[in-house]
Amino acid sequence: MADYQSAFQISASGMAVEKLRLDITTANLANMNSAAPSAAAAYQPLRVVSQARPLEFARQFGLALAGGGASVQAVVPQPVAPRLVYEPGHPYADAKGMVAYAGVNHTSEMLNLNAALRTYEANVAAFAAARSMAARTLELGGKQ
Amino acid sequence: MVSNIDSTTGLLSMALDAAVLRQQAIAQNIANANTPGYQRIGVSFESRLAALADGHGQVRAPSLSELAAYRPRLEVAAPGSAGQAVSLDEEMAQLSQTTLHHQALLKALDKHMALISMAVNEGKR
Repeated sequence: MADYQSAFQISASGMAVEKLRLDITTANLANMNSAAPSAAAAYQPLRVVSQARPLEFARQFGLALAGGGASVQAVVPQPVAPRLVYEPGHPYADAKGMVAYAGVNHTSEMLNLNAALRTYEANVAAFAAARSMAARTLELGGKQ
Repeated sequence: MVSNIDSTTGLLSMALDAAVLRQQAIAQNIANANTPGYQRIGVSFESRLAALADGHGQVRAPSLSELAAYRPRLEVAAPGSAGQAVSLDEEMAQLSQTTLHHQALLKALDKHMALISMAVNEGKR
């Protein structure tokens, strides 16, 4: 008999991953205009690297995807060059008057934000589908 | 699980299992929509049932002992092979198809149970 718990767990893990992606993107955007005392110390935009949870081989031919879902493998800083702005009066300005700002790419962050949002919604839809399928099954054999 | 009242309930409950398993496979694909290198998984069931058709559009009802061979199976791309990437819109379309199919199967099982119930009650409601 198929169990519904694994369906809920799979969708919940997907939602958790996308939520973290959303959080990380927000952190990148929040630090867009953060200045750093040196180019090496500038904030580096982060990326979430997710991985599929391995399906246990014995269960692959069973009737539930136990242990499935997605998980976060790592949150990795992107090695991008900082944005250097000429601001001689700034306390963090170097000898040439340049200040290092975080090299956050606005466009790609917004794209990631939207992708994470849509994927989160898709996970919610899958969750709702599992819920309605379970609820309908409970009605089986009623009102005859 | 193969129920052993008759082959119709057995077939219907396997089809329901296939629908639930397919929903879980789709949930797995959606959860990994942004996972680099992920290959989508699917469920094979209806395609194997096609073996029961005799070529004239007639589908033979399988006997109870045969049913186990038609159990729904997960289709996972072999490691290293170029599988299919996940496309979110396709998964959503399949998700709603699976939900509706599941409802239709439940309805069919419900009606079938009602028939059996009528027989058990000697035609009285």
